[in-house]
Amino acid sequence: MRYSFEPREDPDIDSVWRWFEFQLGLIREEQGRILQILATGRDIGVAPPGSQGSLFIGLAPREVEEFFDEQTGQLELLIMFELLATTEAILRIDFNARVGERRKDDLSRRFREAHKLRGNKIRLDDDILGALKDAGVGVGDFRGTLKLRDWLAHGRHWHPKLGRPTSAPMQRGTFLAKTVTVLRETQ
Amino acid sequence: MSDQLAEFLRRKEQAAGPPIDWQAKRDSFVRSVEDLYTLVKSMLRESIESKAVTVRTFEMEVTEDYIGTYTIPALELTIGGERVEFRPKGALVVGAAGRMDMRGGRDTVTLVRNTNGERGDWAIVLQRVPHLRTAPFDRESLTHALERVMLPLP
Repeated sequence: MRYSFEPREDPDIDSVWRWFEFQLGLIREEQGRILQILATGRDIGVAPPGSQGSLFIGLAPREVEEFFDEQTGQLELLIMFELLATTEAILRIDFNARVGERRKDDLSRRFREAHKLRGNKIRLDDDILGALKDAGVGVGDFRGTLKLRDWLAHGRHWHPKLGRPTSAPMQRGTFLAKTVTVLRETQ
Repeated sequence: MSDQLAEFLRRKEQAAGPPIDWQAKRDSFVRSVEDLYTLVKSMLRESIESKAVTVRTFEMEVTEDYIGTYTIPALELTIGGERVEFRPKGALVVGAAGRMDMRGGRDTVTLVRNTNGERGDWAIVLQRVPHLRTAPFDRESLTHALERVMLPLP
């Protein structure tokens, strides 16, 4: 197994999404396996110590469902953070490229102005998303997720006041798809 | 397409194996719960006779998939004004033939019904993670469970 802490030159939001779907599939598969044990009505003894299933011993079907819903919820939050972080990486790489290549388009000019002003201390919201907005790119929903990103990154130790795009569809994955769409619009 | 559907349903029906007698499972669970209460009362006999512990049983309803709704006795212990309830959770649980929750003012302890017959009919779940630890239901584990679910001594 490779552990790499090298910078990602080409962050890929699709691979993040594939990872999410694979993990979600594993959770659903395991949920189905556990619930199948109940549906068969088999009399099986209490699992030996250390067995993987011991976590579920004595749980009723509804409790099993609640357990897996919680797992899915945690995964969704984790994937949202990964999507937001990957989105930021893509935007920052694009920012550096436009500045370095001295492109002549309106957005690149705005990026260069920000770079002149702040050097290497470029802020995602003010300098990148602000410039995107001024250049006519719709980033409102993505900006609305920054509070969610901060909340996740800092351990969720307060009750976040998330705007409509981030709070309501959180459990349904709609928001995730929207984030991906917003990202692609900015590329 | 309809043949494929019929074939799929036929194979599912065959894979299901012999029908399960859910009512027998329910009856067996109810009997096991009643036996547990008898055991608890016998363990507490001296304390009950000295009025240190008051025992009451009452009927409660449990609803489960496949089995439906049925009545089953719950057991209430009153000790110095504090109550501890044995409340059956159901016969249909993962990895056991039934579950009982022992609920006090501080905490709840889970009892699971064994099916292998090697360690008695009921066992107390001492810990779930990182590894499952259970103990046979006896005077020692009952003492441990009461200490855990009841409010601490002043």
